[in-house]
Amino acid sequence: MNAGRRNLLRFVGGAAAGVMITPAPWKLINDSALWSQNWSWIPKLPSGPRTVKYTTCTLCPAGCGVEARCVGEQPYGLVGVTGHPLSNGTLCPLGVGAHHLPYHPRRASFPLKRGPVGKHVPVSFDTAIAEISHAIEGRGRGTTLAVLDERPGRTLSLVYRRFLGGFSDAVYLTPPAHETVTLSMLSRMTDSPAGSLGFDIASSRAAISFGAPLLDGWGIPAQVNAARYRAGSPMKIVQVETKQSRTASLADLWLAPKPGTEAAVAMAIANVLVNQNLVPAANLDRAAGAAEYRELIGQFPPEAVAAITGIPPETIVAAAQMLAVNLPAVAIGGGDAGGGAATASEETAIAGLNLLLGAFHTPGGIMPRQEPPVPKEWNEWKLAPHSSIADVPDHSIAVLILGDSPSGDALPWTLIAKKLVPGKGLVVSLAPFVEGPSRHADYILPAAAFLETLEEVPTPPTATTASLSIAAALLPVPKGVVEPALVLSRLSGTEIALGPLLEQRAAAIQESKRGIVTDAAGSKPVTDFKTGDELWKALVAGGTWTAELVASKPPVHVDFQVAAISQRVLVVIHPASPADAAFPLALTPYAWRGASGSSVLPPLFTKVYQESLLRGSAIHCRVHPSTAAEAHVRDGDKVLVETRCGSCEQRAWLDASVMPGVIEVPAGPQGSKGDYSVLDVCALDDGGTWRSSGARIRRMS
Amino acid sequence: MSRYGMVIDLDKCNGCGACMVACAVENNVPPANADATERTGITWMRVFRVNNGAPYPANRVRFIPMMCQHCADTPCAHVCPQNAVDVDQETGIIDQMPQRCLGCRYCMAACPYHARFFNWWDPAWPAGMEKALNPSVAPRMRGVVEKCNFCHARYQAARAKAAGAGSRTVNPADYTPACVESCPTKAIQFGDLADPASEVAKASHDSNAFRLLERLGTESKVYYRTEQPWIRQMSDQNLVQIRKEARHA
Repeated sequence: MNAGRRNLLRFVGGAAAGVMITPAPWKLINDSALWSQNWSWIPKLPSGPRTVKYTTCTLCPAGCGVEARCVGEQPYGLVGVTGHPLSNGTLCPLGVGAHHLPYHPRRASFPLKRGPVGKHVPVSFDTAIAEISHAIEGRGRGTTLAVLDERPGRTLSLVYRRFLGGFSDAVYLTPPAHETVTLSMLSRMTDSPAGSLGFDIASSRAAISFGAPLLDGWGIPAQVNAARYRAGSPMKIVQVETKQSRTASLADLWLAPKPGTEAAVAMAIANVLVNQNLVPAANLDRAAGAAEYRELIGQFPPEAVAAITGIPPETIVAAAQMLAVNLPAVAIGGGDAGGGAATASEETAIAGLNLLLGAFHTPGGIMPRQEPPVPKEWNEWKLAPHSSIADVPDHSIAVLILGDSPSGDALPWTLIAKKLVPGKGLVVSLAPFVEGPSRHADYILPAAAFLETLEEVPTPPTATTASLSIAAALLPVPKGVVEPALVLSRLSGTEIALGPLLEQRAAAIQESKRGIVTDAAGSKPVTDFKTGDELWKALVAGGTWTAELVASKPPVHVDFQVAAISQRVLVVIHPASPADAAFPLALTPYAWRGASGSSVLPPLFTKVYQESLLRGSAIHCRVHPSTAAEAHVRDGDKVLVETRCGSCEQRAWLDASVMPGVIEVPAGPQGSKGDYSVLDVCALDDGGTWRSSGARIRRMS
Repeated sequence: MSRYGMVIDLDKCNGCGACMVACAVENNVPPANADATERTGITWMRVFRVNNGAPYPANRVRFIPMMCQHCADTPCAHVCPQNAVDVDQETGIIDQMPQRCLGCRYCMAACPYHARFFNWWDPAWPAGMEKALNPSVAPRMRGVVEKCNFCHARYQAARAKAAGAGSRTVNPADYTPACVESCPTKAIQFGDLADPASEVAKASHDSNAFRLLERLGTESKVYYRTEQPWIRQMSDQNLVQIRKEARHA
């Protein structure tokens, strides 16, 4: 063949065509595709033997069982434990992503101190303790040292109170109750012989909820779901709530009252129950104040209440009838996690419904709960007095220690700040994250995060049976993290260790011979454990101790103080002052448990509030299109929401499911850019609640 | 030959989002980039909040979990120039092969369910969180499309387990996608639609069961169920349009 130009071109062309039918170019494309997807910054997957461990979720009080799928010692997936006595396989989205929390960008993994420009800077543990001790010793007369414990009921809570008991003027604080406020109100009406009360929701045939998120993370969610989806006789739900929450949208009947008129709805339903003889009169007769109550509810006929609340009278009647034909039924107050507790007047009205429905000490209603035994020597501890933070005098706290674990419910910083001595109050946070109230702390001595330390999970506050489980430590503790007990030890000068106390508690349970322990392998009576140590090991391995349901009789005497609060209820129908014309709209914050802005969410929660429109974040406000039109606001506009307490910038989200005249704003999650909470601009009432504030909205240029 | 599919009870779904988080955990989908929005984020499983458009208070909100519908007639596979869409005849599962994907996004345009997502950013996790990734699923690179594959890694593990026991048949108890496993109200059923004895096959024949955009003839393998007529009517419309209309109603 001649080496001419034409032949050269033929050769090149032939070679090009030929190489295309060999694997070479395709292999090259494939390899380059693989190579381009394996940059050094793409994470390498962990490797090692796969194991399964069991623990308990501590992110909210529900105490759900967790199966941790691990590679080596590292959990990479969490799922619920089928057959768990409390959760039975249920795990909320918070729990599903909880193993990522230790790596959250807002994690504090060493002691921090507020620097001169307001930002937190590292500080040594010894320096921080010395400065905090100095502040405690130097607090002025008439001021107090306090610990704010958002998760009362734990052994650590007792340790906090014991620590404070060493000071003459110290006080142990808890936040305003949300889920348990109805139970607290009922507890005060009678001497419950067994101790606390709980909702026997699993056996209820109907529930009327005043804003409580029954189907969106309330109480023990698995028990609510079991009742709601019970084959044959699912629990009926009547939801009384301004906002069309998830519970409202799925309820059998949704009553949407104007903000602040919930008590009137409760009274109107009571009126129907009594006047139509839907419930036995004897249910109410045993209560002191029954006559006054009957007289009071006479002022709330459905027709009159319809004018106040905006709910048609026939809907109120239908709600009362639905409850009456589906006994046992229970009335639940408390509101949602972001809006603050219900007021005393509302809760008294709800208590009246529970009396009428015969829910008091009735299976399927509200039952007494016998608390787990504690070691005898603990009864001799000198404990500081207990108070709600709302009841503490303003400007009285010199040093406030914020507890290690948030409740999952919202707690406005404004409520805490007004209790501090102005300009001098020192705040120390033991929380593992710089979020919520911790953002305002002068010192942060971070505790271990979920899965990093052994934690106690006491009885869920709404449960009817006592329980105890232990969240085992599955991850190593970071070097700079300090246990709350160690902080208390250093501040008090006496050695305090939590682990041995928890073991003592297990031993006390073993000695009592009460209840059963359930683990992944099944359940067995406590009597099967020969020593407290055996029981302790079973709990650490993921077992849950549960006590038996207490058999009880209805109390003979119920002290129903209607007269004392009737004026507050009547304010709803006879308002003392006209509405604030300058702030004609109602700002109603809301949240779901764990996402109220008081603590961080697992990083993958961005799927829920940033990468989809499923849940709003704290930068969104929902308004009805008609409300927006009046303010010349369009969907997506940047708006200023103003109240008498301040203003905040929001992104308007037009939503036909919102009541006209209402602005709904999530209290959390804050998102990556958020550094404020809508709760900061909400007005606090005398009872320490913030469910509705006068507001206005305007478009920002 | 199996035909894996789902039946989702919309009357039980409370829109909690556990399925979305569990899906991201299982499949190593990273948290959102700071600039990501609902249009650019990656949610293999996405729960839509829809309402009936009625004036308040007759307005009602419900939730529709949406993922790849695993169509028998797959529009995405038809348009892919790279053969990066894997249609598994053995299981009916539609998978995406990121190694082959060149990021043209034709499949995203072709998918009537908006169930495919493009990686606009490199996958990034907060420092230390890469230790907690699922060891069975490789992260995807910027510039490729990804989507639900019914947790295919779990299917492979179940198949390997069956093979270890000398069987070619996967035990249904060994193969459950993460969203099904995590649903607190048990609103999602999963199984072999080709097995008439399976619960999911029976549920798919419920008189209130339907498929999204059935008129397109994609023969999807994800069924929904509700007693609310307005949701069933909505199912044959465009979801994005519905959401827009609902918000402006």
